[in-house]
Amino acid sequence: MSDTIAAIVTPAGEGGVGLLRISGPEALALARGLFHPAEAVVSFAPSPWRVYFGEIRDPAGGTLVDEVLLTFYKAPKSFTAEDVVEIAAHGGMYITSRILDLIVGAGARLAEPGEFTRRAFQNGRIDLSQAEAVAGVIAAQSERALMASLDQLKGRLSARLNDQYERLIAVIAQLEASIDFPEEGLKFQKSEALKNDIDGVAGEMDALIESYRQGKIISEGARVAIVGKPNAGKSSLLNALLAEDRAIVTPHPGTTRDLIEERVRIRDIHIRIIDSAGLRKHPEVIEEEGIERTRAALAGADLALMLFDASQPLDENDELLLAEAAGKKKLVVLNKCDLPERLDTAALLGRLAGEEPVRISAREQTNLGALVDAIHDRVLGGEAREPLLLTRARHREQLVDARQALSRAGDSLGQGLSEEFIALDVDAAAQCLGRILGKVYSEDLLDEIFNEFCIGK
Amino acid sequence: MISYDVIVIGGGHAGCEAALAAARMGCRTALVTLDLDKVALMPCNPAIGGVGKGHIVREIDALGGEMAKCIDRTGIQFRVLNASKGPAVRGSRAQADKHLYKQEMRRVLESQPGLDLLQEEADELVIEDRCIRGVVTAGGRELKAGAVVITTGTFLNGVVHVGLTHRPAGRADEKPSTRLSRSFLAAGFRVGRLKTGTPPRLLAGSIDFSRCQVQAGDALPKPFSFATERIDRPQVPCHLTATTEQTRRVIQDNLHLSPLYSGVIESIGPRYCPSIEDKVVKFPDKVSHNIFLEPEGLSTDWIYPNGISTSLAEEVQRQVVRSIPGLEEARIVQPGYAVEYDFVPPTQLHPTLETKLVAGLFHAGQINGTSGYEEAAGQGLMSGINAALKVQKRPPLVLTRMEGYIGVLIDDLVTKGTEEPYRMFTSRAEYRLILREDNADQRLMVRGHALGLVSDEAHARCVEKYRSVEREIGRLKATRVLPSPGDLERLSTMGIMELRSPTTLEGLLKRPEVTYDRLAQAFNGDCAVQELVAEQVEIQVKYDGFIARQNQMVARQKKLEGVVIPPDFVYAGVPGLSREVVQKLEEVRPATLGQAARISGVTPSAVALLMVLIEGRRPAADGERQAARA
Repeated sequence: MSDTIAAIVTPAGEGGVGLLRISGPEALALARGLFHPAEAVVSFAPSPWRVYFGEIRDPAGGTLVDEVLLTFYKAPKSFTAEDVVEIAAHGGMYITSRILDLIVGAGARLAEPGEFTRRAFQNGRIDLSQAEAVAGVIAAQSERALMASLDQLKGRLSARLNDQYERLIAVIAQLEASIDFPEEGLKFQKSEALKNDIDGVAGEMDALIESYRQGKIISEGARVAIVGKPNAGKSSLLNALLAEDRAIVTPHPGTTRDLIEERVRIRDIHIRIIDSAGLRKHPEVIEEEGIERTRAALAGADLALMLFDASQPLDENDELLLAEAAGKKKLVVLNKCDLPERLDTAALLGRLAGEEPVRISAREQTNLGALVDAIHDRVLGGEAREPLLLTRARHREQLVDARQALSRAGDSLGQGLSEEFIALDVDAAAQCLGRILGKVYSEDLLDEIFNEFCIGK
Repeated sequence: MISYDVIVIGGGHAGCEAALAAARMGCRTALVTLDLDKVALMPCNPAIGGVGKGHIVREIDALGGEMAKCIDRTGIQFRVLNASKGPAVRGSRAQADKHLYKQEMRRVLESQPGLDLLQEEADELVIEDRCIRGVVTAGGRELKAGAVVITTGTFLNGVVHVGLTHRPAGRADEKPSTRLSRSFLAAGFRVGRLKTGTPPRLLAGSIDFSRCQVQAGDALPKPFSFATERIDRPQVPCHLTATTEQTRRVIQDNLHLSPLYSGVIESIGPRYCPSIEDKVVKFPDKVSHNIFLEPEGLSTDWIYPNGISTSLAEEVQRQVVRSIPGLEEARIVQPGYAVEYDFVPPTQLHPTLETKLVAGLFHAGQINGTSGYEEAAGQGLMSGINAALKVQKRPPLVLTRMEGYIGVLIDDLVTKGTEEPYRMFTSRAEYRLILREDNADQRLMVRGHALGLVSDEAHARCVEKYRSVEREIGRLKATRVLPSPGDLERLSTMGIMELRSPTTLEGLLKRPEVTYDRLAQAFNGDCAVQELVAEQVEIQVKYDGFIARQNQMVARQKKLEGVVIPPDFVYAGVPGLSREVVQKLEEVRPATLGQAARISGVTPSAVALLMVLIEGRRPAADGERQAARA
């Protein structure tokens, strides 16, 4: 059918078991060259869908690489509907990478991102809507994200979009009838009524687009950047949150030179915490890159934890921080509250209108519970208002396009342009919804979907 | 035995265009028709054009067809519909003197070199090895032909209904073609059945027009043909009246005498051109429906009451008519009727209108399930062109949906088929804003010229027109307008009292309240361009943004249209395609992925799957995979 591909299908660096998948006509032959079953046989000919225990040995020299479990899935009853061999090895990047190298060395091609799924799709194992939902399930990293994926699977989002779609079609029907039947003496809706219909759908789209932001945070996690001047206690805070000693904590300013990203789970959402190099007004040359990264981290962050040292007065580095974080969604954290307060808190807060600070001591681990609560609330923007979550980037893009088209339709209506111009944009909006709903083919559908799969999945 | 290159069977609007096109392209052509007095007859509405339909007529003209010229010479009331809307949806419509129209068309046919007019009935198709060889007439004469175009209208197994009585007939009092119908079945075509209808005709002298509203044509009649300079014929008015509560009661009380509502007629009629009994049943709350009283000609007393198509019993028709203001004393000179007829579902056609089953056999007009003279003529023209191209062994001409309404029409027919008589609407054209009546010449004249259907002179005029348009737009863009006393004074003559920042003449013309005429008057009366050039300049400048967006849509769609599906592609057995989808694809056998996507029931994921299979888009080892798959 096609060439033989291979990849590690478990996420990098996690878990005690690493799974490798080989798919294609040569899958079994390749595996045979590397796998030595524990039960001595003359020629290894596995029954399909059975698990075999054995060893992977380097064909050059015969050294033992790992003890593994091997399963052969015979076409077409496999993930890709091709011959598939899956090898469960001991986890860790080194061992699994080593085995993958051997497989590729034996003649397999490294799979491209999403290629197994693409093959499954091409071979008729799954249709496109299933493929998209599968991608959502795969990417789900917590129960809440899983709920959102399942919700979409059951079509609740579809039902909402379908309702919007039909309302737009009804608007189009009005417009078209007035164009194509000018002599029928039909009475058409006044432009205000049309505007109300269009605005109604547009408002619902806005709410869904906003829910995407929340949805993205639930399925992909939120990026929270810890920023603050050198020695404000960023690394201590990170460590306190992780309860794990990853960053080096020293009293010397500027020791954290690289961005450190860690994942913590706060209730039902994943948070990626980015610890940055200290922002300093006159950095040593070596730190420039770190500061650049800080700025990058801030730019991509859903929330900035702005860390101030409550035991020091506001200085020029704090000023720099305030300037960098202007316009960001932020949470003000006053650290070192176990020490005598020398920061002019009132003045600081005066410049951060409406911000409610959280007072902690990272070193003493005081008030961390309140900080965690505040992060959670701030990241989600309070309780999730939209029970239906838009979680796929492709869907959001189409909705944003649809929303813009409706704005243009509203403009045309306002300018008193005739029906065909309004219909053009209302139709464009309906087409966007149609692409999400699978009513309309969109040429970039394939690329977008398959690109969303992580490697090997 | 007589031998022709192209034989056209049927002398209606499709047949006339087909025969003229083939003959003009140098084919020895015969038009076989039952009655030469009835070529280009208007058996229903005595009018040409309308919204969407007018677009087709303009395109026929740009391609070198006859309909536009003929109506320009015989029209008695010209009106642009939707005149208050944008240029893309304005539709030209003209009342025809229906007798003059068919006389004029007959004159054109008779004076066409290379065209024989044969008053005979065609009985049988001669088919060998799935290729057309000719036709046999009722008199037993065999006519050989390289290609045959069938444009038989409602004559295939036609049955006319008035009340509960019915008789075999092609139109009011004409005999149908039943043997030819059998010939189609014998050839293996799937045949369906449709219905259409027409109102009773009234005697003008018996109508009290003083009780009706006068509806005049446009003060300056706008011709259909790009070649017509002006309309000279005197124009006459139509009249407007409406049905009443009494009309509704008469119909409701007599529905049992309607063949539609007593179960006699089961075939499907046009939803958008319903009979008066349909309107009453389906819209019971609407008391009054508009009736347009349209003269059938200058030399006839017959009036066509547009809006009361009916197949009720004759006596009931009389009561219906007399319930309408102005028609209290009206006399019916021909009762309304419904006609049921066979059609050959058009998914059995290639986009050239050649049948898939029989090479060299083309279908056009109502046989393909359409309704309307304009739709018929557009197909007739394309079938005549493609029949001639086929005989001459030249590549076929298929217009796309991006090029014109004729492209939309034929693509819809061969891709989706039709369940009811198909009528054109502007809403069927997804690129409507660039497919306007005003630019049909720009879109299509080059095609007509390449075929030899449009003269060098007409083509040169078109090229020069659009050069002028481009020059003038260039000048408007280059001419700056400043808040200087001189310019402000010129602006004030247009009612513009202030100018905040410098602009150009083009910028001014984009303003909704500014027309090209007023702009030219105010700024340089000396630089006036021809009226038709001015029209183009104004449209292209004012709707620039919308036109650009439609052009982007066209560019996107062209990618999908460019993916050609191999003609021998086997859909059955492709994993992931449902049986229903496979069946639809096998039936239509789309030429491109774009066409496949338009087939109803073919899902976007099926299109995506086909895209993957056809394009083999994965980057590595492409050739190998294709080979391995095969």
